[in-house]
Amino acid sequence: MATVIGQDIIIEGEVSSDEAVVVAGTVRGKLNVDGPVTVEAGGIVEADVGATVLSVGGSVTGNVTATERVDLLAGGRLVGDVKAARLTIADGAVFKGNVDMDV
Amino acid sequence: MTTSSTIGRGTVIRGSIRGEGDLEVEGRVEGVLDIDGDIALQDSARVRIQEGVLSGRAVSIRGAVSGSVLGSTSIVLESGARVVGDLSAPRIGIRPGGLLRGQVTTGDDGSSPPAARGRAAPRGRAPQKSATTRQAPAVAAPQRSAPQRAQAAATQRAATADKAAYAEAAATTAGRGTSKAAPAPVMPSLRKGQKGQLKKRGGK
Amino acid sequence: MSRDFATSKSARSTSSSAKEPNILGSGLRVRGRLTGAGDLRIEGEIEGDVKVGGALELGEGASVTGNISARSVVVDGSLTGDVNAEGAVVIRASARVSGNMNGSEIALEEGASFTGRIEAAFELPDGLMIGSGTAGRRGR
Repeated sequence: MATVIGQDIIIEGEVSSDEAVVVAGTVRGKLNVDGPVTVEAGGIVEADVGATVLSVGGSVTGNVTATERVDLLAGGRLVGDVKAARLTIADGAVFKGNVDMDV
Repeated sequence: MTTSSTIGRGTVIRGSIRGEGDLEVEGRVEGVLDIDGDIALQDSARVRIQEGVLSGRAVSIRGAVSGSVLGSTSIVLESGARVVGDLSAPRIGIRPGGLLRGQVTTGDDGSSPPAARGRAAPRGRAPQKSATTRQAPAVAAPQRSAPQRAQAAATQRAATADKAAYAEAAATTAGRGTSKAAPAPVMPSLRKGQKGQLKKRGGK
Repeated sequence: MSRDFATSKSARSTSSSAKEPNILGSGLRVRGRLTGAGDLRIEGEIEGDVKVGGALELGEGASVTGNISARSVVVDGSLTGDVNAEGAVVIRASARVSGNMNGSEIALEEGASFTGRIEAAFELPDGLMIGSGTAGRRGR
């Protein structure tokens, strides 16, 4: 059972979840998930993000804390500090921020 | 193609949800919910509207809602629904097992007769919803600022409108039987002071 | 063709609830309070309060202007006034109602014309009550 924020939906505020969250629309504020977060191409997150696994195909602006890993895909954009045990940045992705893998 | 969103059972959103597309809610929402699309609140949904009204196209409710609901096409409370708040839509259904406490106004933007609105007021609750359904697009539309002020202003407008409309309706519909779309408004014999054995409207 | 029975102060039904329901036919017009112990089906026109101990039905052509009190109420016609029922209130698709409904359960069929309050008896769950603070993430 996943939470899907569709491409024409805008959420402003705090989103918390203990299940998978897929963002194809816009989330502004805070995004805290005890589970995987996928920001799809076209998805916009302007928030600090907590997740187990964060997969960025869209745009994330904010600090990221992932308990497992962060994957920044080609076409994805991540501006903010990343704290994660594992990080991959694909060729073509945009990244600006600090990385702390000492977790 | 209409996009479809789902707020899952384990998700809580505190803030506003706006936009277009259909939405299914199984989790918890506190704040603003105003979308141009169909909304289905499943039985695990818990929605607390803190600003404005829950607004959608065809709204179906199986969960619990605190706040008023505006459906541009319809509102249906299914069995298990628990809603405290007003409902306004062209078509409204409450299935057996659906529970509501609030004002209900069917039809588009307050086509119900003024006398009916006046009568529905005496319960003690602010009469704003009945008369201002006509102004629903203005009052119920997403309020980013001062919803209380708008409601207070609307209540005042409604109170004056109610009194004027009530008097007007009583005069024009005297003696008429049942009307087409709505029940007969005040009959002359029911005006205050006459026919003592008839109970005051709205009182117990 | 309608017969106009302008009853004096009140009309009283004396049948017990076990038998056939009393029917106020479509040609009847009553002005004044109506009370009874059993079930009642109204197909005519009533101006005045109606209080029955049993089940009350307003047929499609019925018109009641007054408050209604009964064990259960089904409205298919026109009602202007409040309803107080111990049990269920059902408003059918062809009804036109203006008034406040009180009962253990109130059902409203789509298509009905309705303006008024609906007051079913129940509590909201999980910290949703108006005025209560956010209880934090609810347990699953």
